[in-house]
Amino acid sequence: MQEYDVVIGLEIHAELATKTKCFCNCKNEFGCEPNTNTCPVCTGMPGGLPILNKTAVEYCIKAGLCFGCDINDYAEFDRKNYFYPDLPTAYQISQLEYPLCLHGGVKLSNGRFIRLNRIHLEEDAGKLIHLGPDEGTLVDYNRGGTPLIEMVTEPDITSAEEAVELLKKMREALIFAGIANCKMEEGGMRCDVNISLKPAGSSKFGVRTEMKNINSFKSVARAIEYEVSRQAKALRLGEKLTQETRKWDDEKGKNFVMRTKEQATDYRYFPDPDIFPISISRDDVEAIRKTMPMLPDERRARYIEEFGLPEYDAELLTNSKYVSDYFENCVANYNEPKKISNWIMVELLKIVKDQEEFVFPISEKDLTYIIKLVEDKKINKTTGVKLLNKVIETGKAPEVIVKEDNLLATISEDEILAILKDVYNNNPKVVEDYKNNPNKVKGFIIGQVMRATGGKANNGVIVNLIPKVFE
Amino acid sequence: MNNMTVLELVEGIKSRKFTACDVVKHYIEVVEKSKDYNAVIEVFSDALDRAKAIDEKIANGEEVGKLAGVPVAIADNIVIEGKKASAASNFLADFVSPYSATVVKKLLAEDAIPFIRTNMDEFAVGSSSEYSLYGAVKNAVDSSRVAGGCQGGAAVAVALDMCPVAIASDTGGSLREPASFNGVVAIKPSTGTVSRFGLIASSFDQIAPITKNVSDNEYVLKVIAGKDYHDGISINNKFEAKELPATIKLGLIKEALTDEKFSNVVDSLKAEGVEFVEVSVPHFDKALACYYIIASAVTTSNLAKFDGIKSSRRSNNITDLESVYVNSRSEGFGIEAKRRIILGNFVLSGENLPAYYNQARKVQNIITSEFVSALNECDAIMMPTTLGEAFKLGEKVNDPVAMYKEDLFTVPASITGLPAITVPVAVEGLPIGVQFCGAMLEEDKLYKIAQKFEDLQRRAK
Amino acid sequence: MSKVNLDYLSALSKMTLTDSEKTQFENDFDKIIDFVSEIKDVDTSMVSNKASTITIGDLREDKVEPSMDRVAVLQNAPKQKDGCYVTPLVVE
Repeated sequence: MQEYDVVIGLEIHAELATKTKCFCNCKNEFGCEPNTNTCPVCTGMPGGLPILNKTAVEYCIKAGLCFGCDINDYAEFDRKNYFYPDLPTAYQISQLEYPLCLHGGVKLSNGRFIRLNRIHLEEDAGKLIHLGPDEGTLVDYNRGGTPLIEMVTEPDITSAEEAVELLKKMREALIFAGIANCKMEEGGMRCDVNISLKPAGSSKFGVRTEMKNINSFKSVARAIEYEVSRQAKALRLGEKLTQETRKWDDEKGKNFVMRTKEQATDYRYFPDPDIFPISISRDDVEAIRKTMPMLPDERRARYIEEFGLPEYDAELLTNSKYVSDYFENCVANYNEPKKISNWIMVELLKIVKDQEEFVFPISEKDLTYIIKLVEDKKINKTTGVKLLNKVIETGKAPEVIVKEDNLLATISEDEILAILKDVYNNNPKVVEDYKNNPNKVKGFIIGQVMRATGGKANNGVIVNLIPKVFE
Repeated sequence: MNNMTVLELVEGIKSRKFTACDVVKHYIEVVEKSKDYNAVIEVFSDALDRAKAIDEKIANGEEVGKLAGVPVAIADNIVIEGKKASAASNFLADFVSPYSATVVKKLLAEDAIPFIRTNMDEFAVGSSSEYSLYGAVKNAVDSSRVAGGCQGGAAVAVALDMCPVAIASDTGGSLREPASFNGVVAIKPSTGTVSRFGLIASSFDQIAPITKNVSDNEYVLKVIAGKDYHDGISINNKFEAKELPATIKLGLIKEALTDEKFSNVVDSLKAEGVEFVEVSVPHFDKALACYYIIASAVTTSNLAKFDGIKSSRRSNNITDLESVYVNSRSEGFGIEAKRRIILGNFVLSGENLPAYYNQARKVQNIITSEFVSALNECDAIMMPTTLGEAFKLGEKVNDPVAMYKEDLFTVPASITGLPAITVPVAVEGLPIGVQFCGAMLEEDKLYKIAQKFEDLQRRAK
Repeated sequence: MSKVNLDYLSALSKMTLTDSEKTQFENDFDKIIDFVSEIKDVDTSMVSNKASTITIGDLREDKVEPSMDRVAVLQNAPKQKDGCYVTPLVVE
């Protein structure tokens, strides 16, 4: 019986996959030479003015549609004012009173529904590179102005496991919707964690602490677990907890105080006078909804219900949007979802299994051509796999290889009989064994025929002919 | 070549009555002779070269732009590539802009010649042009008096024929007030008419021309106007032609207290057949507070980017990051800029945000709808531009509220976004103007009314 | 009793005021706050704080335009190194 209820809320930031920044036409690209994607706007130069990116707004609305949010019909952009060297204009353009999306949520595998409070659009800050007390800090504004969506949950999460599952599901949906790449190692998705404990069953919330900018799911889990046990220990000892921001140090596996509420900045949010508020009609929202691809949960459900695939297949195929799209394209060519699924899972996924990002080395068209040949019994499975590998190796179309290697030539029954007679004549022990237990040596006999025919003979035909020779 | 209008210069240069070089040389001479007024910060060294290039184009029979060869003064808060722009502040005294404002690009595209940088109140906060790094600008008619602000330099330069036209900004009356004090014409156009990209903005700033007469003003405004990709709140002002009725009806705001001088002007217009109707703007007296709350809030935020790290002067007295910010800003900003920054943070902090700032935004909506209603009953609203003539130098510099109250008649157009133009009244002694405020995007009608008024004033002289 | 907390506001503004500035401002703000506080007299309970809008279609296309050359970007920086602006060490 748990002593304390764990109450967790997350603030998740994801960098949008737009071509340009949120408020200027500079490239939105990671890893470039410092300050080479900058201009008067995103470096806070005198006279610069923000110009809002249409696609960033559409992507934020799409994020809202991914999670069942209400899309507001009036949205404003506000200035969050504070001084920090990574913020070139000394204000971050964000959304306070009238964000693009409100409410919505995500259902977890344990049945619990985690409500969202809002999703809004804002800009990222630049990067600081700390050199040392003498050399100082270097400031790079390439990342400054990158569009971010901030997704805020209600404090509905009750464990590290739930938090990580939520993050994974949200990340997957954003990737599938084409909104964000969420490359964790590039800081494409970051998470602030708010945790408090309360006595089990109590309705009064406890004092919460915040840990900011955690950028891996493992760290999120570890940070939550550490903080929960830290707070529980303090509460048991009767210690008073203070509302504070703590820094999670993943290497050390602990957190420590950064600042207390008293030191919190007064952000003085007010609507940015350089940006017109936007009015969004229901037609606008529907037009955006129409451009959205099916999301992972929906696809999995479809694969299971419509295609009759087992859950295992559905999970594996929806691990990435690329594989899922590839699978669906194959099914569109040739309506044998289970067969296609098998080929993808067994033959293709093993080729790319060590690669982070991959493209299957054979087109949907070519793959389905091969599968169809096998299913139509024009070639056998072994030959089919060989053909697949040859297509990958040579880059030639399967039709070409089939012609060149004469793969469709069927081995006649007479030929098989002749080979079986050879096997019979050259293997007296096998003949003996066959009399006692045919199944014991059937495999060997088939193998011999396959060897002699270069693997082209039809399995079923061989099996039917064996008794004619061996009995 | 004295006292030529923009239109005369355009015609004269194009028809080769005189060359652009002659014209630029003439105006530079006047500038050199008028240093006492402290209106001009810098004469651009490339002005003559630009003039030569335009003369060549004309000599070759090439097409030239609408302002070909016309020297134009640019206020110190509008950036030009390769040139200094300091917004009259110590903080930006070394700033050389790597890009040009859209308005400058438009001028250059029409073969105008930006040739001088004019003095102003630091960061466009002020109503007298006394808060400047370069010292106060002196009134064109009486040099013991202020030029008005914040764009005093631009107004004096035009008034004293140092240039035929100046391009500057009007924030809460920054163009109109000095125009009134120096006897020239200025407009605050419908908000969004001219792009602000490249303007070192403080809050409600809008760019517009200041000229000797109404027709020059309309001509130049049309050249620099246009929706600009780089200014998200710029609009496409089509300057739709509006017919003036045979009898012009002007509205007088019931709640605006005016003096005898203004009543005399009204009477003189009545005598010329102009009809007057009383209109009501019940919250007229709240416009000043409304303006100063919102303007200072935006200013404090707009000026936060100046930090001694990126484009502004860094203090020599630094130890850590905090000292870079605090010392650079404390040394960089003048007294009025500091006052506005603090006032702005006051109205935005904690509980003041709803009580002052949000409240002011709502009052702004109220006053705007009251003005729009009032304008349904007349062709334009007429009111004074300023409380009176130019006050003495030093008179209000230590009395901020008295300074703010100078903007009584100019802030309404700023907070409502409506166009308003000031035209000089025919007077002896110190200049003064009257102001006509029109409906949104009705510049054409407003210019026609202003032109009629100007004609009447000329006759009166 | 001052109407404004100058210490708090100047810290928020990242400025320090000299003693004479402080004295002057204490005086000034007394009058300035009275002046702007008139705004509170207006009944705005039925008034919206919304402003006029544009539509999504009016917004800027997501199309890359050339950035400013880095040399130009940094040309006014009081201190620069390796293509970056430089500040004293920032302690997080």
